[in-house]
Amino acid sequence: MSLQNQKSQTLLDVRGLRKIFGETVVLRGLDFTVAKGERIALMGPSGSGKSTVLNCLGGIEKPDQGEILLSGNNLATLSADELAGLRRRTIGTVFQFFHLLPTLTVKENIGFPMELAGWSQEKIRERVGELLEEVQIGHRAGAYPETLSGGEQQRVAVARALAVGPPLLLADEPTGNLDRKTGDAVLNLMEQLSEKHAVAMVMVTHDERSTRICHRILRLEDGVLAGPPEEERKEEETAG
Amino acid sequence: MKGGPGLVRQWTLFTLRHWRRTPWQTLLLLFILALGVATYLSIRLANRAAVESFGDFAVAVRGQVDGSIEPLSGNLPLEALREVRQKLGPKAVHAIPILETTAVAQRDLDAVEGQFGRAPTMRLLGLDLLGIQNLNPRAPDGERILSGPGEGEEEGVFRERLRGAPEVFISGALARRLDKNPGSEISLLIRDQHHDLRIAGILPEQRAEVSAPENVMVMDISGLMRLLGQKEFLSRIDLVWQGAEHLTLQGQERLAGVLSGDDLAWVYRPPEFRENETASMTAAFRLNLTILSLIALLTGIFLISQALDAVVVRRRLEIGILRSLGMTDGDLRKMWLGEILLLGLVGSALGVLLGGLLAQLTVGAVGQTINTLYQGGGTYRVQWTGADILSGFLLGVGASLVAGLIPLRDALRTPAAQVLMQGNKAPGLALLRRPWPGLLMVGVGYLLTFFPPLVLDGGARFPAGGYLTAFLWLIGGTFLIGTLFPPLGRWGRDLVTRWKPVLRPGVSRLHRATTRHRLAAAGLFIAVSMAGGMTLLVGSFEHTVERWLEHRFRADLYINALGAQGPESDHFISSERWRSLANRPEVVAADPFRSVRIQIEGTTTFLTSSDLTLLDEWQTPLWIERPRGEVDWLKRTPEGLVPAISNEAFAERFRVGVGDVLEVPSQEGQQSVVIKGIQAEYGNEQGALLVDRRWLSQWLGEENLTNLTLFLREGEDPELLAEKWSGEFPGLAFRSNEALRETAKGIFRQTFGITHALKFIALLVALLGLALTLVAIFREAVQELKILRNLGLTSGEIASNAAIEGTGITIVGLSGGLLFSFGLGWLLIEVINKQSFGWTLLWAVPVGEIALFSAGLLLAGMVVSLGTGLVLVRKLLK
Ligand SMILES: Nc1ncnc2c1ncn2[C@@H]1O[C@H](COP(=O)(O)OP(=O)(O)O)[C@@H](O)[C@H]1O
Ligand SMILES: [Mg+2]
Repeated sequence: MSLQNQKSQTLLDVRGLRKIFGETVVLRGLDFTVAKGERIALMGPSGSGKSTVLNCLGGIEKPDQGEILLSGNNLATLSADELAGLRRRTIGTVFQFFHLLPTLTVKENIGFPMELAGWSQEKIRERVGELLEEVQIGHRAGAYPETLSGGEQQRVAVARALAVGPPLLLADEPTGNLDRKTGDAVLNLMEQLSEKHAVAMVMVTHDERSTRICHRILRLEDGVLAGPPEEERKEEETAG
Repeated sequence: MKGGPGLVRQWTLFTLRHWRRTPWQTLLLLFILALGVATYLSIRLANRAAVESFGDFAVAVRGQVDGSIEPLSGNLPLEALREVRQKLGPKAVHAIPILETTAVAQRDLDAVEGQFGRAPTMRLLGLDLLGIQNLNPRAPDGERILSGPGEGEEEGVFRERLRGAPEVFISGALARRLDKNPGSEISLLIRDQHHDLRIAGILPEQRAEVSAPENVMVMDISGLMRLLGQKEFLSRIDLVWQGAEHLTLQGQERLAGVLSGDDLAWVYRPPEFRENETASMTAAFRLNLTILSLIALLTGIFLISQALDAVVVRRRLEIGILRSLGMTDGDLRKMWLGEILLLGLVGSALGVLLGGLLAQLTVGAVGQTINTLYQGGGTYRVQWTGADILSGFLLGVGASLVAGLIPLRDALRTPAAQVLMQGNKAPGLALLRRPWPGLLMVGVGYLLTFFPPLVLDGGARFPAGGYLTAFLWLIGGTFLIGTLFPPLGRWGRDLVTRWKPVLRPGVSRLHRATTRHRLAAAGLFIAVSMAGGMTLLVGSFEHTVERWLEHRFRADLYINALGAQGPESDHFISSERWRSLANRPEVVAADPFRSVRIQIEGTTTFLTSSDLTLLDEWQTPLWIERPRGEVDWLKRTPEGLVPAISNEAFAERFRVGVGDVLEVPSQEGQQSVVIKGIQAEYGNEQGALLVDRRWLSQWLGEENLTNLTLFLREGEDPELLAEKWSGEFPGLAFRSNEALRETAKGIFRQTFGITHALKFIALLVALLGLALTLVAIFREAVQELKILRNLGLTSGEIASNAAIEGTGITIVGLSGGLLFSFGLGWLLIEVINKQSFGWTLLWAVPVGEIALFSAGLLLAGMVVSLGTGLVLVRKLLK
């Protein structure tokens, strides 16, 4: 496993993360790290704050307390525009409802982050071609999202999330709206691409079976992380 | 309501709570609605005030009449009174002679520094005061008509006083304005002379439920005759039936029968005639304003539709939930209509209030214009009736309901499951996506331009076909302009690819524009086409009038009576005065001009005269059709016909051309004239026939002038002479060529001032609508905005994407509108103007004005879009 080489290198370091909405304390101080290329599953009951964690990691929500260090950058010290820049280059996102831009074609959706990064048209065309191949959606390159099946849309979303090669992928129930077979295919794709490009991943999921592609499971309950289960720690030890 | 809550319950449970949650949007929506209603109402009030000021003033002084005797042409000879009385015999109908002229208070003239058309003109009525005092059949409990020092006098004393120095009764309002009391003197300009008259008393303010207009003055008819230096002519004779009730329609018909006969220089007019005539005289002008205000409302309907659409977007989830709770489409429709009803009611109420404020302004502007163009009566007052308020409400509620139809359909089409799953996502209307209904409407509209105008009572023509075309084109255009979105999107896509990829999502959304985008563009489109079309019309008109002024007014000095405040005033220059001026050694040629009102085919028009021997050498008309060969204007043709020149409006109105023969009424009986040529004449829409002045003075039996034009000897300074002669003739106004043109242009600008104001109201409404639509569009796209944020766009970049959409909508509305404004301009100039005024206008495109206006609108659109984008991004992405 390629994780071995990167284990020592921490990509994401979360310390004492606390988030309050009005009266409700949603996160009561979370501590965890994500190494480069490491895939983590975040599980918990509905409303436990999983999406809130992802939003904090993506810089969309501001924690009320605690620090989030992404590649050594403390998110709290960054301005709104700098956070936007971070999302643009460093973080890819995949959602339950795919969230493709409906007015852009498949090709354009995938190419858009590259345009934002200022790539040349030629390079964009080349890379979009590769990605289309990797997610096996080349035959629908010119189609608009509304004409795609759920599985196809999610594959496009994965391709777009990984378009500019970010080191971190945040996925919020990526298979939640797909049937099992299609969901499995998407998970396989994510694992495969994460391996190939050494992308770390935080995946929120409801489904125990989805965790099979992850190295580790974090369980969120009552605003705190439950201790990681034995087997996963074992795996970590084996790796070490 | 079976399945849903009651109306009030619904309002308190849903509507008002929604309003409270989005106070600004609700206010904006109500404001747009109110503005539309207010514009319409203020124009309606202004129009009515203008017509009422024309009303028969004698009515207010003396009660309703049962008809009047009027001259067929110019003056009514005194013998007519004898003829009428003879024909009436012992019938219980009184014939009351009336001499009417206009007067201007010297104080008012001083206040406006002699500016033409600015000072209020008053009607001066000469009545047989003694006769009326005795007559007065229907006065309640025998009250006296005129109060003042004369009250309680013995009849003999009163008669003596009437024989003495002329005295005048004025209205209470005028007395207050000029700060005068009975017994003091008032300085008036009557025709071309000053008179200081003693004020005999104040006219009653209210009589027989008719309030006396402030601009009327009354004096004894013999006194007025002495003042005017003539005893031969009357203006008209009013007839009053002695019975306790008014004359019935049959009675009027019988009266008309008794009072008919060949070879009479006068006709009997039933009571409504004057009212209808004055109303029809200004009909064309008022109609234009009404149409403009309705177009503003049409724009308003589009915008309200957009705004309601925004409401539907926000409620889609609620609608889905209510559906899933078992409410039927019928229940939902009722709920929606209930909500719109409340909106319409509140918006209309605001509109009525706002309309009251706006009316103060428009009544002034419309009144001023009508005074100037049609020699109206001076003061105008805003008076509300229940019908005004009702019509405001009907219009407001009606417009809201019409506007609510499209969004309603949209809302009901949204499947519940989809809404509940995906939040705010709409399929959108297919209707606006098809271009063929638009093409059909444009085609049918074009065919309608061949429709002849409708002729209204009193001769005004209404270009119904033309207005219908305008309506069809505007609506058709809204279908067509949607086709501009995809090419704009493609072009934008290429542009952003090279220049600013961050804007790609916004541009791509334009490329795949929704119904909402199209609706917003349609609102702008209508406002721009209308404003552009009006700009072209006004521009062409201005250009034409300027050319005409240059062409027509080449003389050095123009003279009219100082009291004359309009082109059709009866402030004459007496014959001794103008002859004295025309014979000065400094003058090489003089053109005396006279205009009288005549009746042809029951329609009022004008017979005018000037010195036609000056044609070609001194005066050059702008010929539409030149006379063929040499014409001796002073001689009858071999067929015994008097040669005449028709102006365009006359030719159009009476459907005559060169070579046609007409019977024209005069004191000397019917005169046969033949039309030798047709000239352009802007500023006269009622038509005028021009003959040599020798014919008209012969027919009239007098030589008074409406105005005098002088050509000066080489080297004379017109300004200097004007100054010298005004000292000599204090009742006359002397204007140099330059000054006259400035005056004409001033009148012109004043006439179109209100048009400009309406134009800007429509544009303002359109921009507000754009903001509202953007709110709806972005609210619906909140999910997409979130994706953009996740993709790493900053708030500013997201707002810029929003701004791109708004700007794109503006560009589509603007460019479509500019394109159509040429069509509308053509329609206004070649069809509507031609049919209602009969004027040939030279096509002129005010490029600078249009460019400035387009740039301004584009900028405003961008600012509105960016502003809306910034506010919404901050709000929606919290
Ligand atoms: N913007 C917000 N404002 C207020 N409360 C919020 C907001 N976002 C999330 N919450 C609350 O925080 C809790 C956690 O939400 P979320 O992170 O979406 O849960 P999960 O994704 O685990 O289902 C919920 O109780 C939710 O109501
Ligand atoms: Mg969640």
